[in-house]
Amino acid sequence: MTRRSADPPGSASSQDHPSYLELDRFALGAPGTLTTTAHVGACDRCRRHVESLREAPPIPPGLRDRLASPAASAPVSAVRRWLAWLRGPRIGAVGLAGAVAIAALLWVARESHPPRIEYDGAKGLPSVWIYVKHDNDLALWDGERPLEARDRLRMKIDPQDLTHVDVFTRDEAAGAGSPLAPIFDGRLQPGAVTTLPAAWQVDGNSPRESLIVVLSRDGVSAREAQRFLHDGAPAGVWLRRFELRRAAAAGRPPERAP
Amino acid sequence: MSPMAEPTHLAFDDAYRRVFPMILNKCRRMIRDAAESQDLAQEVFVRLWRSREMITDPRALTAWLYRTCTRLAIDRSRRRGRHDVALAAMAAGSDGQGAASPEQQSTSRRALAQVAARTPARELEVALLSRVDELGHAEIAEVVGISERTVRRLLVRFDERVRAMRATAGEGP
Repeated sequence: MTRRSADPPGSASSQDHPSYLELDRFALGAPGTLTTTAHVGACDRCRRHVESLREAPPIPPGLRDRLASPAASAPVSAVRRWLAWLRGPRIGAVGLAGAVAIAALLWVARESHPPRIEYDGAKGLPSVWIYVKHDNDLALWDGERPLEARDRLRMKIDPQDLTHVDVFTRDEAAGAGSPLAPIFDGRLQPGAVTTLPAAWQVDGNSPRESLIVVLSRDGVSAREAQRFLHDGAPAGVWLRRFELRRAAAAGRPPERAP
Repeated sequence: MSPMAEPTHLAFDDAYRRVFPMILNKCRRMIRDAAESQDLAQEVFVRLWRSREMITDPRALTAWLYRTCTRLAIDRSRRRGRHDVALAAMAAGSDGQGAASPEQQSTSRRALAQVAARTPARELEVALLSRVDELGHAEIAEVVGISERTVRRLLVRFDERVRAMRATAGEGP
């Protein structure tokens, strides 16, 4: 429960109300507190808010068209959110265990042989590193090694002065013109190296798939990214395509990244 | 109400009926222009539909919606060159209209524009979630993915900006 400030303090209707977030969760049926349930039952204002969520306006005419666009309907074919598994109370324990495991793995790797690094960039330019976790082995990807189903990917980015990252995936087996599917977008701190909070798992539905990473100042749509892949990125946009070949399809020659 | 356990399996109409009013309400709280808030709500819904496989419970869904709505509103505002004045006014609880004279109103609006132009997006995001959506610190931390301590620090910083603005505009404390 949080104190809502919409009512003037001391006014007749001033009282503690659940936040809009709490009420929205209550309306969706999320497990809530007994206090929220009791409050909504007794408070006209909060009950009206919850009831208003049951009254959907007619579906706007253009909405289905927007949803029917290739980018909206294309499934994320070969990479999926791994992070979905890390939810709820497990995240703390798993995060701690993961951090310890990663530190140990990196230490062992450093002792045995230098890590292979997918480093795409130069001093003063944005850079992307891709980490691959195969079973219990974590390594920085060299951009060549074929991946196997259930390999997990994470990405670290140095955006330089750019502020937004969009990540798309494309099924290369379906042809170079196949649509891009957005799988992540978010803001970045300029000049700060950031590990994306999302992680993905190779699922093996497609033998060849690309990850397309676009750094910009305002974000780009899938359609814009597709155009930039074809025509080249304009000033203020940095784009790289990484081809993820599955181990079974490793014999095929890779396409050149733009 | 039954839990929205598997949005992945929801038909489009069902997802729209259950989620769109919430998105639209959230957008209307930030954006007064009806057409603009409707358009933003549709964009958020499209993004939700694209990401539906990844969101598997109501808590994650609502956190995602609040985060995406707020960030998209800020991004749109900046992209269109409006310098976040309207959003900053919402977060600051002042749009300059309360000033006594037209001259003071003009000064107040200029000061607000400066606040908008200088406020980092993350700070504005936290201020909007706090002042417009009236979320508590723990809820904001959950939605944005930062610590409560950072939430408090960003709100203090934003309040300092607003105080400076009010001093400049002669609005009083």
